[in-house]
Amino acid sequence: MTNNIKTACLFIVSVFFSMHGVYAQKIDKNDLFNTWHLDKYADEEDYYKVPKIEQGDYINLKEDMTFELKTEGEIGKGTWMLNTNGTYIEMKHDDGVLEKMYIVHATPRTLVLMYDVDEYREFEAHYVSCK
Amino acid sequence: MKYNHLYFCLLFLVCVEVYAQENVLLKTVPFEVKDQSIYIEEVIDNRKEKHLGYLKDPDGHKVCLKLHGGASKAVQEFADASFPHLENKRPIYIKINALNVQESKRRMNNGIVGIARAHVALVFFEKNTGEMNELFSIKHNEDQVFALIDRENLFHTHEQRIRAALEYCMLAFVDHYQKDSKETKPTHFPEEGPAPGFNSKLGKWFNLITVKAMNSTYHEGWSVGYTGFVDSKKGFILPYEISYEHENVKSNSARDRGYESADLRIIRPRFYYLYKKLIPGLYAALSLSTPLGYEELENIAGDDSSNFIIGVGASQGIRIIPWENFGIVIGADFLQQFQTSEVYGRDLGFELILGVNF
Repeated sequence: MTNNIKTACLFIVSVFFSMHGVYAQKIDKNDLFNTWHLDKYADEEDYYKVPKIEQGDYINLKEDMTFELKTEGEIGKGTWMLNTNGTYIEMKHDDGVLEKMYIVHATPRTLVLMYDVDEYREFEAHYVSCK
Repeated sequence: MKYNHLYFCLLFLVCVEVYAQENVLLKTVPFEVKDQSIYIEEVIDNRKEKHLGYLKDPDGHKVCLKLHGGASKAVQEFADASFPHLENKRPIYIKINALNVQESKRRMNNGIVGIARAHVALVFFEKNTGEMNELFSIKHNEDQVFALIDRENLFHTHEQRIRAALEYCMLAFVDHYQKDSKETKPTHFPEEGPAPGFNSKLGKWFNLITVKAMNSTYHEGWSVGYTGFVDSKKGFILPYEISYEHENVKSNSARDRGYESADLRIIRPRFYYLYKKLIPGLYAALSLSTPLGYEELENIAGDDSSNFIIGVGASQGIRIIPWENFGIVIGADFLQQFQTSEVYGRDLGFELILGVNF
């Protein structure tokens, strides 16, 4: 009897934990291999135009797990990885600087990222694959 | 007999505290591994403590988190989903040296945020003629920031961060393992061993409620405030502080300037506020602040007036926090300020601080 109660409790707790993230999107790595053009920013309240200095910014995620990007007009290069369980991309620039971006949403046409940096944490960066 | 009942009640309460346990079911979400020449033969849990950590759940109850079925089984099943067990593959052994989850807080911009971490330390082995040969070792933290009110989400995503940390370590191993045979491949993952400045443990968050008694050349007063900071042995600590101050010009000094009384009510946003841990329990404190508020004046003739206060203040002092988890805080500050007071614009003084930390 005690074992049954224990098993039932364990099951309930397990289901509770396994339920979390049920709605999290499963990322298909093939969707990411593309050139992503910065389209807009968004926070909880509104969408925002890309500032002039960032217009034309893009990220090119290549299949050989290298990337090329343009940020505020400057070109950068390096390697990248997808962490499926963490639903994030980590980019390592050639100078060793690491950037982590959570994937909020990804389809073959749109990519929504949240940069893991205090200054931009409240914003989502919306990218589109063709412009 | 009466004492026996009491004894059993106490024992029951102690047991409830110790054994409040939650099992975390580690999901087996596969991730892409290019090298399909290996599989994980065995996972050995080498940790002294076999739990993930003691944390407070969103209801505030202290719980001991454990992986359902034990860490060896949970990590083995997690690995099997991405490294299928097939013939003609090379067996790899994993030793878990650390696997835990942690919570703390830190200052972010003008507020405080919650921070959660999954910390993993794994060693990968191969068996050659019965001997275990170490191939690669890695320590990794998966950190995530949450709004303070988002306690529930922070707590319920520990499981996902464990998976993310395990995936990161396994991908790093595969990258290292492949690199030995194919030198040309670009490397994303760090070399073996922790990066400089790597901390496996999140710093403890301190909450201080303090009362300050201030005495300066022309003013006397008090203030009450809250200070929060995350402890760190290295570098500077950036505390978050809010306070309310009430000062009045000493009566002799006020009369010298033709006033009967002058009371100031001030808040003090700090532009630069630094703690430096000198030894455990002793911190140096430096600040540069902007006093903002107003002063109420009454002149000798009995006429009332008020004045907006803004200025620049600086302080240098120490804080003594002898007990980490709960206890008293004592401190002292030497202070200097320039402000738009009608009575005395410049001042030098001293503050004594008494409070509690929790």
